[in-house]
Amino acid sequence: MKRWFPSLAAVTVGIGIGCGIGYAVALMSAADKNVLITPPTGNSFQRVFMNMGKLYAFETLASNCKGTSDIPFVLRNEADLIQKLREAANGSGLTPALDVAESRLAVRNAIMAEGAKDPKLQSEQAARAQKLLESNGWREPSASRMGQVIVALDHEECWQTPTTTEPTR
Amino acid sequence: MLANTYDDGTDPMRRAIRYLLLTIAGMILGLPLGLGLGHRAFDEGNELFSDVLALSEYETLAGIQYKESDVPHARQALLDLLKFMDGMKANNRLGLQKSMSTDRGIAFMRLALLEEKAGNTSESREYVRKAQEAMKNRDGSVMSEDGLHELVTKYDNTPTYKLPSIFLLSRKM
Repeated sequence: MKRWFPSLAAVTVGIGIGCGIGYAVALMSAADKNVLITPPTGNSFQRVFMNMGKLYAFETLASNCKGTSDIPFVLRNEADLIQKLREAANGSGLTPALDVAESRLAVRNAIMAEGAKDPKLQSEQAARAQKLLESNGWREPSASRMGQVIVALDHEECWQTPTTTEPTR
Repeated sequence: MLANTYDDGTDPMRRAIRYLLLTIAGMILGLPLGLGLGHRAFDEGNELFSDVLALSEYETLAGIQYKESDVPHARQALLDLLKFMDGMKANNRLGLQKSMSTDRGIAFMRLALLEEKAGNTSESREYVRKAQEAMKNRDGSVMSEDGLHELVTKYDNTPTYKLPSIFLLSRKM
C-alpha cells in the first residue's frame, strides 16, 4: 500500500464528517426560516405574511381530511391567529379579508357545536358569521352559504391531500 | 523500542496524532461544503413552501370575497391581493414571481370585468392593459383581451377560490 493512502483516507473521512455536520446545521437553520415554525417577526408585512401561512396550515387541519385533527384545539388556535393577523395588518397597508376568515371560523365552530349538541353555541356562532358577512357585502349573507363555501374549501383541500377521503366532520 | 514502531520505523502514537489532525483538517474543509450544499438544498425549498402557504391563504380569502360579495368589496379584495403580491416582491420573496404573473393577470382581468360591470369603461381598459402586461411577464407572449376574458370567465366558473398558479403549486406540496 502506498504510504500516502492512509493520510488521504483520513482527510476524506474528515471531509465526509464535516460535510455531514454542515448539512445538518443547514437543515436546522432552514427550519428556523419555515413559516410554520418561526414566530412572526420583522415588519408588519412580514408578520401578516407569516401568520397567513400559519392560517393556511390551521385551515388544512380544520378540513380534517384524514379524520385525525383535534378540531377544538385547531379552531382555538385559529381564533388567536386571526386576532394576531388583525394586529399585524394594522399599519401594514393591507386589508386582508379577515372578517371572512372569522366568519368561516364561526361556521366551523357552529358545526362543531351542532355535533356536541349545543344549540345555544351553534346559533350564537351562526349569528356571528351572518353579521360578519352582512358587513362584508355578501350577496347571500348567511351561515349556510358560508357552510357551502367551507364544503368547497374542504373538498379542494382533501382532494389535494394524498390518501384522503371526503372531509370528516 | 522496536516493539513500539511499525515497519517503516514511525512511532504509532505520532501516526495516530497525524491521522487525527488530517481528519480534523478534512472536517474543517468539509464543513463549509456541507453548509453550502445544505443551504442550497433547503433554503430555496423552504422559502418557496412558505410563499405558497401564505399566498394560498391570501388568494383563498380574496377569492371568496370576489365570488361572494358585491362589487365594492370584491374590488377591494382584489386590489388588496395585488398589494400583497407587490409586498412579497418588495420584501425579497422572489421565488414565485414568475408563477405569480398568471395569478396577477387574472386578478387584473377580474378587476377589469368588475369595472366593466360597474360602467367604468376607462378603468376597465386600464386593468385589461395591466392584465396583458402581467401575462406577458409570464412567457413573453401577448394575450388578447378576448383570450383573457375567456380565461377568466372559464376560471370563475370553477369551484376553486385560489388562483391557478398557486392552486397548482399547493397541489404539488
